[in-house]
Amino acid sequence: MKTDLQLSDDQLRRIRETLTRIRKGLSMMDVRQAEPAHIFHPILPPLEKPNGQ
Amino acid sequence: MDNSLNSVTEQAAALAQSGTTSSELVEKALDQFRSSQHLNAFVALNEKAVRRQAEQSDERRKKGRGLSPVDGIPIAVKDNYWTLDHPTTACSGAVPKIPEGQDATIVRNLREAGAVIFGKTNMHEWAYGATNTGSSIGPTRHPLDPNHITGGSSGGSALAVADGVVGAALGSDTGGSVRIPSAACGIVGYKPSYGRASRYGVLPLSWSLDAPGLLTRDVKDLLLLAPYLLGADPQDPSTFSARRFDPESTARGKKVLALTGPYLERRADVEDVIQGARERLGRDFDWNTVQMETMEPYFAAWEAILHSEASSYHQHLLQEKPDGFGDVTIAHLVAGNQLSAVEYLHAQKIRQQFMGILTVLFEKADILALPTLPVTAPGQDEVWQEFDGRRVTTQDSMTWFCWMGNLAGLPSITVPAGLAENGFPVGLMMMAKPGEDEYLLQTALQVQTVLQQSVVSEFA
Repeated sequence: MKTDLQLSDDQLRRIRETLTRIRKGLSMMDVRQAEPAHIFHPILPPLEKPNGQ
Repeated sequence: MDNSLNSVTEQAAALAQSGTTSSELVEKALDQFRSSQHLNAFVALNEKAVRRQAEQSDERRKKGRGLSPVDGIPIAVKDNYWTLDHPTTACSGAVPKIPEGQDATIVRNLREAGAVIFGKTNMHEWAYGATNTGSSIGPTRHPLDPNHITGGSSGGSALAVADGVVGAALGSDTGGSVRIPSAACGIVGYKPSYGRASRYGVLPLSWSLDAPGLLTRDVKDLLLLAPYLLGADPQDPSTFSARRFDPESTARGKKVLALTGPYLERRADVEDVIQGARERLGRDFDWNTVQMETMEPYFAAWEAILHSEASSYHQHLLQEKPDGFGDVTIAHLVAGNQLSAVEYLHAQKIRQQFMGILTVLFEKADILALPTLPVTAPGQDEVWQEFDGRRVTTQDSMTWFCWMGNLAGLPSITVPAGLAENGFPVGLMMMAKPGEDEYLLQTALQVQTVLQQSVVSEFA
């Protein structure tokens, strides 16, 4: 992404607040054992294994 | 205003019985469009093209060759859908090259059924905001009081329906953008399950959260239009396993679980309306309440995914046309660019954990219920909303509950629940298991029947 965008103080504040809020929320969960949702299609059921395996 | 023939169902019945013509419906819609232009619902309306479609429909029906029940019915389209007879701008000054002469799949479905594609509606720039105050043509204005917002991002579509220009409009929903303005304006708004409706030709915001949707005056209208919305589309891989709409499907479960807890607060007057609706529905539905743990990490996951995916999609456009974007949109895109791949994947892990929580809830209930919004339609200049100990931006108050349906891909609907003390509408939001769209719509019809609410008719 272009890095020489001229950002206003208000835009910089919004960016800072958005990132702080997101990072605080993400840090509240222990995700060490978690699998990510299927990024492309999050509601597809797990694939059936062949031959009932 | 003449409220006759305002719903799609009423229009379809009148057309079938030769009680009206498509041209009459279109002229009535154009009259209403002109009388309410100050509310700013439309960004483009090609009257010649609209009239031509109506004349063609009337010719077909005269010959007994109507294409479908919706042949001749005007339907407005949000400005992020490709349409062959109107430009597509996403109400932004920064627009990619759009294929000419092409409809989005859902628009094509409706056009092939004979529906009259009635102009493009105002929206929050790139659907990247829920207030509809950030648009290249200015904000939409609430039909009850123009000093209040409609909510967004499908604000023009909600306004066009609530104000009686059309009976139905297409919208899109990434964190509530169909349901938010529908609730704020007192109409019905439906977001299908992720993967059951094609997004081909709908300009993306966040592809794993985006869903197309419909805004109408009545749940019956949704049941009439759902066949043109749901189903597989070879041009949208997320729909490969999508089932067609099954009109024979009937509602069965009656267990409703109302969600409360931290990050699920709402203003007292909104809760009063919801409690009143719950009492009226108590005889037909088994209601229970569950106290959730904080929603804060899941909301953060939704927001991280939204900004990361939007930033990826818009990266080149932001380089090529930085002056075309609004200031707030640029700030969102830059924030998304500063999130790392690890943070994005953590958000996807938390998303999976959230879906596990929902799986447990759906073992106890058929429907999850919340107010659609924690507040009523805010004033145009209100930056903050305060309710039940929370102080959040108006933007965050709009998506306060709705993001859940997008994070988990659930079908979700808002129906009018009543009016708050200040006279503005309050919506009841219901969510069902992924894929259970027919059940959700049938249940919503039962709820609508019990509530006997026609909030729109009280002020339209």
